This record gives sequence, structure tokens and C-alpha cells, in this order.
Amino acid sequence: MVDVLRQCYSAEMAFFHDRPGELRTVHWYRVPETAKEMPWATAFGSRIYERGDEVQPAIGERFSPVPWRACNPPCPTPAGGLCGTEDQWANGASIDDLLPAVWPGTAIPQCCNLPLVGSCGGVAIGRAGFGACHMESTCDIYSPFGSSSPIATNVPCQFVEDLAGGRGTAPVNTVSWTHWIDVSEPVPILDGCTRTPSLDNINYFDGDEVRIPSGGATRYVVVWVTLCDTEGTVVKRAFLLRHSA
Amino acid sequence: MTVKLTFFYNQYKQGFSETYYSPTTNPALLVNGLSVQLLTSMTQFRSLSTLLYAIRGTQIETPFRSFTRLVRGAYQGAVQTDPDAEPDVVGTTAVLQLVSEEATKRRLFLRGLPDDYVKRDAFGNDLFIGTFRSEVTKMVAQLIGNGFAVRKQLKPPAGGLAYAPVLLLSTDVDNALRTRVAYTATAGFTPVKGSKIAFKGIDQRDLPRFPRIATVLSVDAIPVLPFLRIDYAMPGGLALIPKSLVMSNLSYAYEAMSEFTFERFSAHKTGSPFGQLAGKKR
Repeated sequence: MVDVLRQCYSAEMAFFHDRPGELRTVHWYRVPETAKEMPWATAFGSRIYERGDEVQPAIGERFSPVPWRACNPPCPTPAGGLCGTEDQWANGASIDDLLPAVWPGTAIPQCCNLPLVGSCGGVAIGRAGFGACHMESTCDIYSPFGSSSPIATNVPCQFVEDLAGGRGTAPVNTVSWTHWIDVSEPVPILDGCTRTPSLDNINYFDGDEVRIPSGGATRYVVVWVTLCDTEGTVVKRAFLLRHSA
Repeated sequence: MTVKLTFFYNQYKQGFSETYYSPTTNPALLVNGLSVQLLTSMTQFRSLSTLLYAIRGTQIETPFRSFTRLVRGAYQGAVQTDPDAEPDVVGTTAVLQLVSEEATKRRLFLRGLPDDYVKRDAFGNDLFIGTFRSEVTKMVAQLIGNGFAVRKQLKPPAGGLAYAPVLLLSTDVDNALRTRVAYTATAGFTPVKGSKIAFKGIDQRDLPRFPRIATVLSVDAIPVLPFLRIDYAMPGGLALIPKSLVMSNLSYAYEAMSEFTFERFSAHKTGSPFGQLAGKKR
């Protein structure tokens, strides 16, 4: 039991003290009366009581508008278990922290009780049923896809596996991706998607080619590029579909 | 560093909370160290149906660490009354003024009181029945003994603060739900993105629901006419030259509690806590 609330809601939280722009959605829900209290003071309690006149903190719940929700658990949840250290609960985790061992086939750490069928949630960096992959890396950019020489090399990037999020929504009018990278705004990287006038479908075409890490042979095609504000810093986020390992 | 203490009370399936401040840094130590005498005194004068359910301590500054302790009704009101004289569940029934050593007053709404405790005589004077006054006195003595504080919003020139005159309010061209606040650059007024500012002199006829306290969304420190942005939609998207609107950085001080007085009781057992006093300046 992390906190006491009269109503429930969903909100974004920053879990990593060394990457405050990395946000995860948290659902507050009711737990059984027998649930034990968190034994430590934590920066990840509800901020619903502090919304009035305080400054946005670097870690913990954002003061962004929150959608209210019923207090039911979002999925079957394993009761009990205490994960993380006192320091992590108080000061946030590091993006470099080793991931705890998870129950097979999920992202739920083994410090939580055995998950039930359909359980969701998991370590802050991962998702149930999928492994977590998130690292700082470098990349080379080839334009257009398949060019013989890169237009930019050794470009620093945040590289994130996002297989679950990038599965697309329909056979048409969508794009799908397996990973995404954040690069600085001036980096020249383009997708190839277009739109036919008077139609609302996205016409997919290959965008630039990205090789991660720089100098490597693992190739990705850029399917979509957008600007993204990560806590005050605007970056270019390129969604990628792996071409070959 | 100060810790805000929130006491969660339950009555049947509803509840209310009370908030206090304590000059300490560790919310877990504070909450776990609250004495039985204090917690008992906070419930004794309330109706038997009132349970202290949980206590939460929160740092009031970043990173806002909090600690919650469930007492799950271990402390319960002690006043047995006729069920008809039960409290109006969460209705406020008495108002206490907590006074700091610097004479700052903080209004505290006491809830969960049995109706018998908050009666008035034929002339409208508050009646103090039973042990109500003595039990509340005990509670305040415990609050004082535990070093609880009264929060006070600092007003210029206290704390080096200064009022900056607002010259023009206009709708932000990029977002109609935001307002650009142009002001006179003033020493002692240093708004930064994410900080809080307090306004004084709001004319609610011109600026309905204008916030008394707002978050600074951005600052453009142009030398001649600096401006900042806040979350407020100008009515009709218009611009306004306010008559006497000023603003200052928001800052608080915490002063030790020293005494209390009763301000008033509710006039009726209704959802409107102050009966005929409603609408008057409180």
C-alpha cells in the first residue's frame, strides 16, 4: 500500500532521477484492507494533495491533469510483495540500475508475489510479457534507405525497444515499429510516409535507413519522425522498424 | 524543511481530512513518532462514529517524499450520542482559529462532531456542552507540545518579496487557454518557469475565476516589457489593462502554534456549514 486516496486516477510518473523526461503511466487503485503499508518515505506517493501551489518535482508523480478512474485494479494483481530499495523509493531509480529478476514471460519482478493470469504492470522500464530494452547508443543515418554511404555517423541517440507499442492499429492507415530513437533536433532524419489529397490514409514508404550501433550491421527503416518535448528539451523521435539483425 | 501532516478520518463510508504542519524533515520519523496522547486527543471530542483511519506526512518541498501510516480506526471518537444527534457525516460543525506566536491565524474546520456539541442558544450564541471545550483544549495543547506550526503566506515586503504591477493581460497567440501577463520589471520579483506567483487586486467582474495563485508556464524577460504566461483563458479572448493588479513570488513561512479560539459553530445541520453567515467575508 503506497498511499491513501479518496478517489482514484491515472497519472504520469518520472521514476528515474537521471532521466526525468522518462514518464510512465501509473494507475491508482484500491487494495485489500490487509495490504501492508510501505515501510519507507517515498517520492512516489500521490501528489493529488499537493497540486495547489508547489513546484513540479523532478521525480514522482507529475502535476499534469489526471483522468479520474474507478478504483478497480487495471488487471488481476498479485497481492503483496515489496520491491525496490529504500533509496530508490526515496530518491528515484537510475536508468543504469540492474533490472530485477522477473517472473517468466512477464515484466513483473520476482520480489512481487507470483502474478495471476492476465496480470499487468511490472518494472518501471518494462511491460508485462515483454522484456525491457533501453540504452544510450550511437547510430549512422543513410538517406534514402539502402544508400551506399551514410549522411551522418556516430549520432548519439536514446534507443528504446517498443515492440508492444508499435504493433499498429489496422492493416491500413497506420504505421508499425519495433523501436524508436531520440536524437537531437538538428539531426537530418526523414520518414517516407505521405498522404493522398482528399484521403485520410497514410501511404507508407520507406524512410531513411538507420544502423544501430554506429558502424554496425543492424539496419532499421524510419517509419515516422516527430518532434517530442522531453521535459523542456525538444528532441526528434524516429520510430523504426527493424530491417535485419 | 517542513512536513505537512494529513489526518484521514472516516465516518461510515465517507470521510474528511485535517492538515497540519510540522518543522521536521523526515515524514516517516514524524508520523511513526506521533504519540498515543496526541492521536487520542484528536478524536476524543468527536462522535463515536468518527474513526482516525490514516496519517500521512509529506515534505512540502521537492522531492515531496511522503509516508503513510494506517491506524485503521485504532483511535475513535468517544462521544456517545443519540443516533439522531449524530454528526452530519462530513459536515463542518465548528470552526477553530489556531493562532501562532506571531499572531498569524489559521482557520481549522472541526468535523465529525455530534450535533449536541454545536448547539446555539436562543440568542445565537455558541453553547459549549459537555467536555467539548476541555477536550479541544487538550488537543491544541498536544499540537503545541508537538511543535506543530501555522502556515502563513508571505506578503511583500516580507522575505524580500516585491509586488510587480501587471500592465496588460492578453490571450496567448499560441494557446487561447493561456494568458500573457505583461508586467513592470521589479527588483524582488523573479518569476521562473514552474514557479508560483500570487496575484493581488483581482477584479472578479473583469476577470472571472482568475487564479489567486498561478504557475508560471514561461517567462520572456524582455527588458522593456517582460511578460509571463499562466493557465487562464481570457474571457472572450480579449485583452485587458487591469486597474490595480499586482503579483509577487509565492512564499510561505511557518510559525509555531501558541493558542486557539473558537470562531463559530454551524447554524444548522445542513450541507451549508455557516447558515446565515454564508456569503459574508470569512
